[in-house]
Amino acid sequence: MITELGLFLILLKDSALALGGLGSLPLIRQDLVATGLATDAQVVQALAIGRLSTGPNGL
Amino acid sequence: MREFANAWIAIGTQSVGGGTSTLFLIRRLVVERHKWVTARAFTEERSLSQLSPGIHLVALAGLLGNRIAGWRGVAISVGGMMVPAAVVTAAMTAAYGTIADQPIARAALAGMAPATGGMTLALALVLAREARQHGRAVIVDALFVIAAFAILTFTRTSSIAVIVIAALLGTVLLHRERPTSERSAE
Repeated sequence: MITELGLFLILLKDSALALGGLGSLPLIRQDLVATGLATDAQVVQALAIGRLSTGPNGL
Repeated sequence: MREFANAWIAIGTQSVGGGTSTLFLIRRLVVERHKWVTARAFTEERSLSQLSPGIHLVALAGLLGNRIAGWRGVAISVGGMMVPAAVVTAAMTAAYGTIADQPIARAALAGMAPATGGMTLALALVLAREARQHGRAVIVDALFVIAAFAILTFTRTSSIAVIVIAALLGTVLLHRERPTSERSAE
């Protein structure tokens, strides 16, 4: 189980290392799916909700 | 200043679908409606924002805010765009959490997931196409695209390792090439 701070730091690192566009997506997927924190299906669900939401979706 | 803040809140709450629609709305409000910056200045700031890590639109909002109203402008533009958008996203995620087990929610998401995959694939293809160069270098670029795709799909290699190795190979293989991509030739 990961703490909220740990999750924040993972996403902060992935965003800081990616040069926009889809650059952060492989990093996020690797950090979340390969480590068992989320499944591929959950990542796709999050992407779908992100696209439905307003403002920049970060991708 | 209130009008300035309202414009950025509108951008954060009225653009749906991500990058392209947000960029379109920023340009429409900041350049066309309010004329706070010229189209040329907008293009300059957009080019500069592409160099930033993370979300380019946040960098663009900050650069435009700085140009229009200094440091206060940066705080208002970035905060005005991101805070309401984050609240909407958090509310939608919470709402989804409460209805996730409903058959209709599952059905809707089952339809949305392949569409999202397709849109993401399309965006990836656009990015790969924009990154390519001309002449001999296009072969190197194509090999890099194929290699990165294969490595991340079929192996457990770290994404960061792939990016660093690609950068090192690029400096070796492409250092004599002049920048000839469509974007840099404009």
